[in-house]
Amino acid sequence: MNQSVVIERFRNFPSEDFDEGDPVRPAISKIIDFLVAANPQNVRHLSFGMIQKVAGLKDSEEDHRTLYRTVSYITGERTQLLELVFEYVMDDFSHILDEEEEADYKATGSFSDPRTGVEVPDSAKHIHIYFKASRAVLQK
Amino acid sequence: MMRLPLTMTVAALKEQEAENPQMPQFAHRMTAKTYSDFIDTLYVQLENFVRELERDRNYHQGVSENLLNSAVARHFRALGYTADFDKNNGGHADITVQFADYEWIGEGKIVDSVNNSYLTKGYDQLVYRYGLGKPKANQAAVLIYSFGPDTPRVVGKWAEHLIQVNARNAGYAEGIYSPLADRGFTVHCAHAHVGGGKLFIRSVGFQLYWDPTAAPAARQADA
Repeated sequence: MNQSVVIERFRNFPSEDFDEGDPVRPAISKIIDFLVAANPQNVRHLSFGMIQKVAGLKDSEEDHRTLYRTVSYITGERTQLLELVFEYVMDDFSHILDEEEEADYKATGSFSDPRTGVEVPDSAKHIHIYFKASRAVLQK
Repeated sequence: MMRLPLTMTVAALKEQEAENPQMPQFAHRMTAKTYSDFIDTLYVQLENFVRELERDRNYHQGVSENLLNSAVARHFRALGYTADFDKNNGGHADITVQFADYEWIGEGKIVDSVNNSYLTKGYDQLVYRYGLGKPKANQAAVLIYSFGPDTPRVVGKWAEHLIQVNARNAGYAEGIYSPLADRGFTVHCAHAHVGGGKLFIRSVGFQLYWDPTAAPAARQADA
């Protein structure tokens, strides 16, 4: 399936899954516009804050709710617009988990510091979540 | 109060979600280690849907079963799950929710009063047609859209019925109990699946009665 077809599907899904006046719908539309137009190199490490800005959402409680609902939806299995990036950060060291490490972390909930091989206590407190455009979006 | 934490660690996000169960349980869903984690998160989010529907019950009087079931599927799709209404699954289960290789199914039934025979249809569809006893797919629910008065009575009589049938037909609905936090509205049990394994079923009551004109009259009649 080529990218334009995939993007068209992404654009249609929200109208099926959210009410007409739901603020999630325009937020998703803006995010799709951004992802389609962006240089692929620039959409491999997106933070919540960047998505908030792209989606045109403000720093209010209501817009935080919309942001969270939007992120939940576009990282979901139906749309797969964004994929998660898990980044381990400890002091000045950071390391993006590869697919194998990510699968292992999801399956076990534990993570070992790649420098030492020693399991990190409370690893969830040191693993940050970011986002990247999915492969489907990037197939330009 | 929903405010996203400054540091977006997995721990911070999950903490935020735990404090705001009405929000999409995104981090919980994405880091579900086990089927049990998936199911726990799914039921938190089903409860949100129940509450939303109950709040808007005045708008839902007279709606069809299909509409309610499709709304459940839509609710889960909006949260990022793969969710279908009337999907083929050994027949057509009303609601199918999937995430990775985990699956949950639901059968929704509208009742206006105690109606064990109709609820039995939904239950039997789950245990004899759509449900499985195998890991990662052995959780299901009968959603009881209760539009009549006294939902706890509807659910309580349904639980009594399951107990009676299980007494005659061991394994039909084992270990029936109602969790303290949702007493009168939710009943848990397990069915010994003929294909092997157990199918764990919750019967979840939705309190959708709404008739502001009839309620005072009914109260007076009781007095």
